[in-house]
Amino acid sequence: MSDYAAAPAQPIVQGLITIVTPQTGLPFPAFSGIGVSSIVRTPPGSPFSGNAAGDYLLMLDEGLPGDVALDLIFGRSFLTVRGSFTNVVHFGTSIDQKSISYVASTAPGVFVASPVPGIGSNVVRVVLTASSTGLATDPVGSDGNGCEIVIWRGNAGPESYSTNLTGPLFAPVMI
Amino acid sequence: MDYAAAPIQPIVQGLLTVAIVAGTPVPTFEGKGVSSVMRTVAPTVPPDIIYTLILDVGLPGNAGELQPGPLLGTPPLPGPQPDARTLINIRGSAMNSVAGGTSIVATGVTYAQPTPGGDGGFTAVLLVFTDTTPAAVDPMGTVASGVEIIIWKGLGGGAVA
Repeated sequence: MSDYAAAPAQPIVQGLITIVTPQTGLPFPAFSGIGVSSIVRTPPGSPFSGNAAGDYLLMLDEGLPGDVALDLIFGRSFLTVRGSFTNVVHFGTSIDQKSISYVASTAPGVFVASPVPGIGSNVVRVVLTASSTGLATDPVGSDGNGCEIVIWRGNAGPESYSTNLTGPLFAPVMI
Repeated sequence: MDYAAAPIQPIVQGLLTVAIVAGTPVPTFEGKGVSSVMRTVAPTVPPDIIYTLILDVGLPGNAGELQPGPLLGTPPLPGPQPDARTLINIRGSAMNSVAGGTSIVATGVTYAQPTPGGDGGFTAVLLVFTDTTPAAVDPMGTVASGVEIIIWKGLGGGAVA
């Protein structure tokens, strides 16, 4: 049996997504951390039909270890929304749905909806949604105070394979 | 830079549970990196239920605090702590309307200073759990059966946009 403990989680991306409003008055996303070279709002129209808020594309840093992109099945991540005192529940957040998608960019400003064969995913899409409104929502103001993101490559170690189990191999007998 | 050289090294990891003691919900933290845990209820509408975790002064390297972020505003106050990372997982309840599920749909994490006069570092973590109402709830009973918490200080880096 593999010694799973020999492969710690080693993040390739970790940071904080915030919304900043410079002198132009237009809020835009910012990222503070490592592993991301730029962040933009997901553009409307093809291929993503980006939402007006709460929807971001994070370009992975070309200096990422071992690869400049992620193989889709090895992506591991989590998102944590920071609370806001002005939320209706103080220090809470309105954002209760968080999702991540692994997409790609084939050239500056050119995005495709799936990883590129032979390369992988060099762009990560993050969508934050408030189910109370059904809308993608920025983690700013009363809705939140930023969003922590961590991504690492799973299955690290010499055995670079993934076991695929399709039940009910170990499922209990249901009567 | 070899990012892979910095694995996740939690400064806090443990399980937060809540039990009724003498008719009052009382929190307990079992794990490492937290010296005390408090449950605060404020009579707001809706009521606040805030869980405050005080970081252990024995934390490795930084004596029980997350370094302050940049000073912002007037008067200058510590800005968001960019390097803190917190992972929260809710444990399900067999008594939930969805057996094994939870009624908690959102969790807010806030880094705070519980006492004035410090050097600006964040020495407490506030957790607020919300259901669909939305209202603050306790992770106990039919709602949930505890919360797993992992906190660590990520590498720095810098701002990109």
